[in-house]
This record gives sequence, structure tokens and C-alpha cells, in this order.
Amino acid sequence: MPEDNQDDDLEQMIDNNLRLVFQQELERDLPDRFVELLRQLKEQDPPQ
Amino acid sequence: MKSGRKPPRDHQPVPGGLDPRDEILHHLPSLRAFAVSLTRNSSAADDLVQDTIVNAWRAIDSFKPGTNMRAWLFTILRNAFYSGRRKMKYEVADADGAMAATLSVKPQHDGRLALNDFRKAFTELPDEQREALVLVGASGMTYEEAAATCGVAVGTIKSRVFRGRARLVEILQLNDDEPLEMTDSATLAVVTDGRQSRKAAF
Repeated sequence: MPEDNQDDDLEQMIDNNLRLVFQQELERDLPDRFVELLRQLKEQDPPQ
Repeated sequence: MKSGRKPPRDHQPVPGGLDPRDEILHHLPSLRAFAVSLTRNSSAADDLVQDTIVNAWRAIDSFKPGTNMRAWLFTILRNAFYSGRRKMKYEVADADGAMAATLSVKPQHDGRLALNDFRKAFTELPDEQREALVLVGASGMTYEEAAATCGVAVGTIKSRVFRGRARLVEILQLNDDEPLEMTDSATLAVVTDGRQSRKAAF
């Protein structure tokens, strides 16, 4: 049915845009402070 | 040029790593993307990721090796987000101006969709709908995984995804008889690649 097809198209378009937006977020540089924080945590609490 | 480091490849287990805490680093990009979707503010998102790292580190004994660490981290992150919201009792500061832009700019009524319009429309959704759409629509989680991450029933997640998509269609005025066209070349590239897997990696 045409209406169902349009609903499917809209759903696919929305999900594609969601993935695109979040892929862009994934590709942003990470702040150094995250890695530094992990390093400090490991230093304070090393593996047993 | 902004300082920082290239994100590590996501979802890659640390070779030979026996300490699950070593894996946290590899999930930071998806954690931050999820945090941005919740907070709608990059500065608040970074603070939220930082809290999540500390909370995860302290709670590492509750992580079961061999299970989905990303889902475990997402749960910690969303708990921190909602806990913070309850304490603050007000919306986080909109330092990026994303919401202000949303309120002042309406999508054109010409059947076209630009990525910026999509971003703005997305920020208008309630927290729970943004969260569900990100987990299922963007990160590739199953409804069951998303429900477990959010601590709700599968039907609740399905309902939130459905209502979130419907609201986006409404905000973007997509539900009319005009053909869908993309004004944004990047968006167009994605949409025309409609055969891509719904389970694309986050």
C-alpha cells in the first residue's frame, strides 16, 4: 500500500539521519581529559 | 584547531587485556555521542562522560565479563544523567544554543530535509524518546537490549521509538504528499544508500 510504503520511507530516512548525526559525533576528537582520567584512575587503583 | 585526540575505534576489545576496565577507553566515542543526545550540550556531555568513567571504574566488579560492556556503560551514563536531572530540577544550560536555534528556526515546508533541521528537530523530543531513538535507531541495539539498558519493558521502548519518529515527522512536516528530497549532500548520500544494514555500528 502506498501509505505503508511512505511510512517505511520516513522511518528509514529518520534512522539514516540518526545514524549520520551520531556517526559524526563518534568521529569527533576525544578530550584529552578522558584519557588522563583513566590513567589517573589506573594509577590509583592498579589491576590486582 | 581544537585540541584532543582521535577517538579509538569503537567496540574493539583490548588485545590480551584481562582487566575489563581497559575496555572503557574503547567505548568513549559512543558514550559521548549518547551523552550529547541526552544533554544536547557538548560541555555537559563531556562532564557526564567523565562522571560515567568514574562510576564505571568504581563499579567494575558489577560488570560481568563476556557481557555487553557498551550497554553496561550506557546504563551507568543514563543513570547519572537522570540522577543529575532530578537533583538540578531544571534543564541543563544550553551553551551550544541548540535549543534556541530550534525554537527560532522552522523547517521549510517544501518537503525537503536538511541535516541541520533534523538535528534541531531531534533536540525537541523528550529525553526518553531521544534516548530510545539513539539506542535503537542509531546505535543498532535491539529493542530488548535498549529495554535492558533503560530498565523498562520492551513495549515501552517500542512505544518511545514509535512516538519519537512520529514527532520528528510532525516537526519536520514530512507527512504530506510531496516527494521527499534531500537538500544536504551528506544526507542524500546516506538516504540513497538505503540498503545499508539497520544494525550499523554506532
